[in-house]
Amino acid sequence: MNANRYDRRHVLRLLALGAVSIGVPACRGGADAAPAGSGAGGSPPPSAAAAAGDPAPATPAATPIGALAGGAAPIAERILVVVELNGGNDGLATVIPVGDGRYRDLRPQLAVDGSDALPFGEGWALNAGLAPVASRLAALQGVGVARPDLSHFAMLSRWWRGDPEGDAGYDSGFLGRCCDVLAGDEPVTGLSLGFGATPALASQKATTMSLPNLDLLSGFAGDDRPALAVVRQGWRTIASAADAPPAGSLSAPAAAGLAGLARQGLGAALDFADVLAALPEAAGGYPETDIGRQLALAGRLIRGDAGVRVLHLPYGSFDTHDGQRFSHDQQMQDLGAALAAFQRDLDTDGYGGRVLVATTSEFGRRVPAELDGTDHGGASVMLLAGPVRAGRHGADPSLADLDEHDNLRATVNLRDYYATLAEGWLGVPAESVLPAGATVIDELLAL
Amino acid sequence: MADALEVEVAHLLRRVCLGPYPSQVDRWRAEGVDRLLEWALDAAPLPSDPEEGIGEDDYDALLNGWIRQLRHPEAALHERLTWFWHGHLTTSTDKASFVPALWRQQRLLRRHALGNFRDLLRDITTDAAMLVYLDGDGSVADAPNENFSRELMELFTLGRGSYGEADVRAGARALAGWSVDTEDGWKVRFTKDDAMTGTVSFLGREVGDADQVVDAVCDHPACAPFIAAKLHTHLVGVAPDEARTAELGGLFAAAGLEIKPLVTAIVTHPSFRDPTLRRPRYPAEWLAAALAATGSVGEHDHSDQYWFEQIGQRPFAPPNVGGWPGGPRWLSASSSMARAGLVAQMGPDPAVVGPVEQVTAVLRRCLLFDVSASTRTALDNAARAIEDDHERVLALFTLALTSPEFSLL
Repeated sequence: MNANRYDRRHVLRLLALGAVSIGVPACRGGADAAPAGSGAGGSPPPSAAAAAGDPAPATPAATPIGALAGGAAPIAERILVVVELNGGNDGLATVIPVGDGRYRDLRPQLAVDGSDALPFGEGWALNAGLAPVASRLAALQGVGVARPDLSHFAMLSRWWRGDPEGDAGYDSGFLGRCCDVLAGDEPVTGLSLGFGATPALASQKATTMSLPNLDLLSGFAGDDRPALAVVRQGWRTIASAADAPPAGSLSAPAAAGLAGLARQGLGAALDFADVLAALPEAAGGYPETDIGRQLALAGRLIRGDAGVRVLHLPYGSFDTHDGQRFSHDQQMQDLGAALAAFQRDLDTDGYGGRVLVATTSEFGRRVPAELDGTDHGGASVMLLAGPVRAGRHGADPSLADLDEHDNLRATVNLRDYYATLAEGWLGVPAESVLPAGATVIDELLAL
Repeated sequence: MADALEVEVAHLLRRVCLGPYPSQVDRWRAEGVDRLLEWALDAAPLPSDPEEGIGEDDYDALLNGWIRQLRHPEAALHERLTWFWHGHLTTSTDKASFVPALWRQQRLLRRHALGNFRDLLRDITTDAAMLVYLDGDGSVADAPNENFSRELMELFTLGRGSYGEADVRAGARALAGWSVDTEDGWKVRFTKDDAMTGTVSFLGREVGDADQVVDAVCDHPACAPFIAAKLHTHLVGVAPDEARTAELGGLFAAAGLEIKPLVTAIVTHPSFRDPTLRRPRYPAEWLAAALAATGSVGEHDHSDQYWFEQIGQRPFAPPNVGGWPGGPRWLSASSSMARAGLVAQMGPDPAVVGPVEQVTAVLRRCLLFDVSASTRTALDNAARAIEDDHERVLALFTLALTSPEFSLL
């Protein structure tokens, strides 16, 4: 990071002396050629062929799903693993328009040479870090909303709630609503592997929770401590009072509501602790990275049949205003290596066809770079790994037709992406969890 | 039956201190609630070690230093406000990794915690760790970085809806020119050649440098109510209604953005004294309070960094630039279990409880004078079930410190 800063400062000095020109705004005006493919009205980009039925447009691999025998599992057995790329992932550094001259002009310090990335269809390349999973990776281009906002928090709220324009009035999360439809006898339907409950899993009736790790009571160092058994009994007593009439300092409705939440949570956690105690050990082969550890936990939960249908993994810091190249490449590499280990883990016990991994991120990045970083952007690429049709999908975003903030315009609405996860993968009817008009993108999944 | 004054004193102590000590209940029960609030408002800042002497990777020194202040028996509103400002004007080790500069920022927050908001904002704008965290470091006027400019208005002062994208860009230009010398102790420098010349239109006035940007946001009519509402939400546990927001905002603006009169107005209002529990006790608050209750000095095998990690709220590691979100998300089941694990590691000493009436004694140490029947039953059953004194006291503290009552504020 320090090295980056000094490189940058060096460039700043040269800039000040007039020795180099970055020319960010200058080249935009001249680059107003016809959009390469901005939605239904534009001429079809290469990947739009997929919509017409081509199973694998422009893929690096010959076969869509590689070693996956039998494709996707029956709907009732399927599990969704959502990896949330925190901070706004740069789509153009993930699926890279190496064949577009404007890309090099707008991002002189960030531009990747085609030879440093994986060919991903004519004019495009996949970040090299994702190479280990490329044969089972689908990339949905241009996912976003009609009227984007540049605030992390406004856009996070829309993504968490499944509310593209922020006007649907949901008070639960999109994944939480999926869990409400899916909920059965399992102790926990939706689980986030992070600290603090995520609004994405906020539900009406399904039990969802978050755990940073699975060693819930490890602080007691050994299950035979007398105190532990008694504490568990005490928690059962407290949990069973979840519906009790409140008293004293808990008497106001709001306080009673909070206390009820605390008590319910305790009961659910005790039930789930018993499930966790019986899980298989983590499989080997996962990298020692944040996302490696998270996916190793996910692998244990899935192979141990814990009953969780929706897993949520918050990952990374993709808010790359500065020093983007290094940190983004590193995180892509960590993600690619961890996903490859995850797929090996699942395939070993025949779970590969049951699990779809899908990314979310609140927005992409500004197209013109700010030296070696990027500001908040618009549409971005979403990645799916598992029983998918590998390759690029959707309509490629246009670098020639940016919005008023110099950001990519969406070519796929997030509600259609979510419909694909809900209805296309989990069998949860889109209209029950998303605003009207959400439509499954059929070409993405290999069902 | 609970003594009403005792309940009120305990409640106020929970709200003004992060780690209230059991002995304080007796003291303020005798001296009265008004004196308690005077003490909480006027207590001098605790001593703070200088930046020199902290190693560049010494996170333990940073976090141990902070937790010592949070759970100090004399820590009152000054320490709580320092913590509040850290969540509001936040910075993460994720990008700002030089520990002495983080401690320097913590001392900056402490210096202004109950001082003047404009001074606080002016100093944090050119603080080394903040410059690095929100990319003001090295930003040049010709191609300015917009990160700090946006968050300054969206998160730090005005809230959404009070500015436009043109203000973000203009602010970024006027804020350019600052950099941090990472080779020289993270000293902050201003380079005239990197800054703008002339002025730019920002929030309806002409500004030409960082101080004028800070003045423009501080003078904006949305600023005082925005800060007042956030502080009220933190201290009282619920957001103020529209009328109360306007009232507090007006008071804050009229006081020239002096923070202490605003805090005084909030804590002397009946809504602050009302002993209804309103919000979760956030993890760092819980840790400070649990250390005080168990009498643990926090110098066990594990570092405090590990403890903060376990409860999910490590200073200088917020989830994002918005700081730690509030609300019921912190009542998740896993937090009770993680907290139970920490109580076991604190290893409460039976001597702090005494040999008799241990259930009542443990609840008193936790400042719980008014618990629900289920919590009381759980502790009574535990007291009868365990022979071993250490195990019994551990079970009692674990149940009390993870009870709904202790988990709320």
